Amino acid sequence: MRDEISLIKACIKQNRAAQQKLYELYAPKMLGVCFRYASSREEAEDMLQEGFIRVFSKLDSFRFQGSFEGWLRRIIVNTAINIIRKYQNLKYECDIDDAEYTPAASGDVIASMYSREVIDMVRDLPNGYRTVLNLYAIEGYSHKEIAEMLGINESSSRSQYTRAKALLAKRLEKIESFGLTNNVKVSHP
Amino acid sequence: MSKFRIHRSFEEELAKKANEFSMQPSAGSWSRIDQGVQETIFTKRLWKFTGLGSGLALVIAFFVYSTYFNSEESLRAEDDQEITSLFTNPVPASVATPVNPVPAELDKSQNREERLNISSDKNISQYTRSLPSFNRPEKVVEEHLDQAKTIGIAPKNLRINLDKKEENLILKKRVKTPLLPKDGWNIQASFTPVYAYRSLNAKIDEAKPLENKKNELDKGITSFNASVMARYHFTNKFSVAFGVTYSQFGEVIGIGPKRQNPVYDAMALEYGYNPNNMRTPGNANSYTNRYHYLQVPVMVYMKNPLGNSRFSLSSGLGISLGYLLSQKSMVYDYRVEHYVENKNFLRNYNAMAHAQALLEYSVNTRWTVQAGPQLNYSLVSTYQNYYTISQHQYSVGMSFGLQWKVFRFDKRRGVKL
Repeated sequence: MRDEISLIKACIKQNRAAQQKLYELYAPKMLGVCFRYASSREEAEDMLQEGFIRVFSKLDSFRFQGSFEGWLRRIIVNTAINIIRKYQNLKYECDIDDAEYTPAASGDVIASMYSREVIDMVRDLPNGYRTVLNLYAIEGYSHKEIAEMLGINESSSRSQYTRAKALLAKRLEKIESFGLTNNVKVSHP
Repeated sequence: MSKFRIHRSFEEELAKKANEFSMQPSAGSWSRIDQGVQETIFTKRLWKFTGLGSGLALVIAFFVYSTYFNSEESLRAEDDQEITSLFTNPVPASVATPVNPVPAELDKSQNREERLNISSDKNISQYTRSLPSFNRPEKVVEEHLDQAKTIGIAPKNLRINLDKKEENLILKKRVKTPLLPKDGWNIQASFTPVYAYRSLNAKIDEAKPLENKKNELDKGITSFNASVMARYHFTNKFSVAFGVTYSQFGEVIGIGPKRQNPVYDAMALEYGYNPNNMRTPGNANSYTNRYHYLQVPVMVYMKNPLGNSRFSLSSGLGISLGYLLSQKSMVYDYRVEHYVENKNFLRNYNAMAHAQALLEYSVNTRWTVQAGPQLNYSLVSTYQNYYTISQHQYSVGMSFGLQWKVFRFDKRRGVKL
């Protein structure tokens, strides 16, 4: 903990070696975060790079209260959202049948999967659903916060999340039925 | 109630799996971030300097203007000229005759009271009501001046003023754009906060690793230059300036501890270095190299007025010869494989190219305030020719200055102003 604080302080003083160390410490995890939002690995790397540039330029505003990783993650997620809003068309449409399907799957199936499989499943969702699911279920933002971040209605965020969950549940049900963890894709337009 | 039967643990398990996931970034990722961070720092510093400098320039400009120029004295020369030109114009008799507002019979009187038929026991307001034109003779001249402007024999920017002290009428020319003279000598002084750094180029392959290492570890510094120059305006457009500039260049180098090996100590002593002052290239600490130059620049400026305003835009290009006044630096010596303090590696003379853009504002005919970006690039290496790396210093910054007109030659009147 003390090491982390002195590392952050060195980064604030623009010590490049310290910056590189901090990057090496958090980059793999943050790239994993970016990968969930991005449509490709290249885009995820762009998000990561832009995010870390913002982190180093805003590091002097970190007050050393609370978790640094949480603070870092918020900036990375915000950067990812900005890039998505800038370059991607956030589509929220999907097949009504898929969205209204009532699945019986639970978190138990997810628990039995590899993290990469879960991430791939999430990444198969349409952009808009994926973003809302990531923000709500994984990052823990409220629908009100998501609505502000994405510039949509709170009710839209709620319904997009519900539909995203339904699409995932459908796939989880298939996995549960057939014992598959690979090669089953969520059907969406 | 939700129609979904997914248990709450769906979110928990999803978050847990997502948080477990990590990926290794590609190889060049850090160098791109590092480059982006350096660019951001530079932009931040530039804006900081620009903001500070602009504020300072505004304060100085306001102070100078309010102290020295907030009067009409500076327009006197122009006023006299215009009075002459008005009366030398072929004014038609119908317009010229009434310029004297006093009737002939009153004009023969000895004093002003008599002329206006004013008696001391009468209230002055009676006269002002009955004889408004005579009581305010400038009104009469104004009327005829208006006529003269209408028929095009007087300039539109003339106005009439009553000098109460002298009891004279003064014809003034309202000058909105007192531009700099086309044939004048000026002194300009400027101060430029800059971001200074250097470019490196290994002359031989063996020096390439050091070049790469230095590019990875070193960074730029904030510095400044100050100059005083004489500027001669050949025409309204072109001018040449020369003078002296004090410039500070440099860079921050990354250093590590000295190698703990008696062989290096012995080599240090052989080449005349203090072993305790030697450092390796590294990232444990930093050391700021600074080079102080006295330069003699020659600049050519091209000026473009911005519309009819007092603003103009000048762009300048030039070169300078510089002398290394002093330095505090560490340089890598391959013989001892350490950074050392050795002035002999440095060149005493330097040549530099300069580019500048200046937004100039003419406060009046004599003073101009100016501000604009400046780029300086060293044409020769900081190090001697034999050194295996050539290093070219450069700096970019925002220049703020004042320009003072020494004199100009008025061809119409044949005098220096």
